[in-house]
Parts: sequence; structure tokens; C-alpha cells
Amino acid sequence: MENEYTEKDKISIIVFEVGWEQFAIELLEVKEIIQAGQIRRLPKGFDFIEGIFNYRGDIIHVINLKKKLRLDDYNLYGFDNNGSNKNTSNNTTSEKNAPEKNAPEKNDSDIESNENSHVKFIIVANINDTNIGFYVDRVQNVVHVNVKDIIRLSPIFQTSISVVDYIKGIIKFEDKPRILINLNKILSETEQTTIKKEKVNVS
Amino acid sequence: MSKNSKKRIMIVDDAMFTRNILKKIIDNTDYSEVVGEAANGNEAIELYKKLKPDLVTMDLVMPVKGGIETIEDIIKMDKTALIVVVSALGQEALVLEAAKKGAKDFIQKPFKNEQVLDVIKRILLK
Repeated sequence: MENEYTEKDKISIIVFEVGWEQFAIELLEVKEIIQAGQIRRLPKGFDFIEGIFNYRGDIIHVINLKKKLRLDDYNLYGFDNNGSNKNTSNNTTSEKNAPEKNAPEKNDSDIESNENSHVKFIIVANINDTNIGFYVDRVQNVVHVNVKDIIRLSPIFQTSISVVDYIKGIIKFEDKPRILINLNKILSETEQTTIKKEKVNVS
Repeated sequence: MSKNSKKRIMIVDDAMFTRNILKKIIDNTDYSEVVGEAANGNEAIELYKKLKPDLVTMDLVMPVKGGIETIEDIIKMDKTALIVVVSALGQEALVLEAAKKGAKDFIQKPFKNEQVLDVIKRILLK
């Protein structure tokens, strides 16, 4: 976990869905979550940029997380669209014996989201003084998580695959693990600079 | 957080009992103090304009104006506002709505002193 936390701490996370997968981010990283309105396409640029969006008078870039995380390429845990595991042998003892009931529960918002599955959301975060939107399919829940239940990736994994820079860890939930993402690291420096330049041009 | 720069906290809750408990917990530290209390959303907005506190604790269900609407109004007024929701069991959907509007954390009732202070420290030290 991040250096500022100790194993005794708890953090608040927000769980969201992109494609078939569920991820989590720290609530502190979130500025606001809004229903996706009209996103205007940009003629050229990174393929993972969905377009631009007027966020309270600020024209912000909206990142398509499904494309940025290349989720069309693979299914991380082998879950189907209903959330059931295709590979039941993956249910490990450690998941069943997770120390705290962290599993996001179904609530009224879930039901509402299911009924209005066409409604998408934009998670707005401030990345190095620039507001950026992250396009997600569904926002599920806000929960507290024990820092000790967040598994850091092993150094071997971190050095062998550069794309895992943005992964803070894997959160142990009772039903299935979720990846804890660091939104501040999801864009490379070059990508952030390009977005800042484009932002000046479109504003 | 040093004693000389105590963080200024505003409590918004329609129940005086809850306000008193929160005030005792917060004032009993050397890094934070309660500078104002409001019993509903309208009072909270007026008091926020006047006090500009470092952090607000916000009840969700209140008469006149509820917590969600109040969070929305305060964030519109001050994009940097730090708001922590004080929720009850069964209010998970409301907590999610509050998070969407910009609340930074939540404390669930019934709470222990340490839980309140952990959340406050986490938000104010960020």
C-alpha cells in the first residue's frame, strides 16, 4: 500500500465497473461522479480518449477506461457478464476466509443502475492540476477497507510488466478480488502533457 | 497537525445529541476544534460561507434541506470543500450518492472515538 498508510489503517474506496470487470479507487482521489452527458469527439489523438466534456464550465478530457486498460483484450478473472465465475477452481481458501466482510452489498443504487444500464458515469479526478474524466459503466458502492487486506503486487510482477504502475494493490473481498487503481498514474507523463496542450487549444 | 494550527471543523446534524458527541471527540484533540454547528442544510450553507471551515461532518437525513443537496450546494460554492458524511446502517445508497457529489469519506453510526478521528486525520492530512 502507499507509504502514508499503516497496516492498521482503513481507507474508503469506491467500487466501479468497466466492461466485465470491477475496480476500486480511493474516494479521496474522486472529485465528483456525474452521469455522462454529451461527450464531444476529438478528431484525432489517443484512441482511449472518448472526447471532451463540459464539467461546470471546464472543458475536460474523458478517458475511456475500457480502452485505456485494454479490457476488450482479455477477461481478468474469467467472470461472465452476470458476475459468475467461469472457473470455479479459482475460489481460494484465502478469499473465503477474508478477515472482514468487505464485499460490496447490493443496494438501491445498484438496482437503479441495473434498470438504467444505458446510463454511464464519469468519475472526475484532478490529475496534476488538470481535471480529467474517467468513463465507467457503473458505480457500485462505497466501502471501508482494511489496509492489511490490500495485497501489493510482488516486485517481480511490477518490474516485468510496466503497465501495473497504476495498480496500488489487490483488495481481498469475500466474493472476488478487486484491483485498486491509482488514477494519478494511469496516464503516462507524455499522455498528460498532450492532454494539457489539447486542453489549451479547445478551451 | 500542530497545536498552533488547529483544523477548524463544522458539524451539520439535526440531532443535538450527535452534535455534542462529535464536538466532544473533536475538541478533545490538540489538532482540531469545532468552530460551528448547524441543524439543517440551509443553516449549514450560511455558516459555511461565514466560517470557511477546513472540514465539515454532514448528516444525511435532516429536515428543511438534506445532506446530499447540502453537499452539492457547498461544493458548488467551494470546489475544495472537504466533507465527511455521518451515516447510519442501511444508508449505503445515500453514502454512494454523497460520494458522487464529492464527499470524501464516511463515518458510520454508531461510531467509536477512534473511528471519527481516523477519518478526520486521513482527510486533513491528505
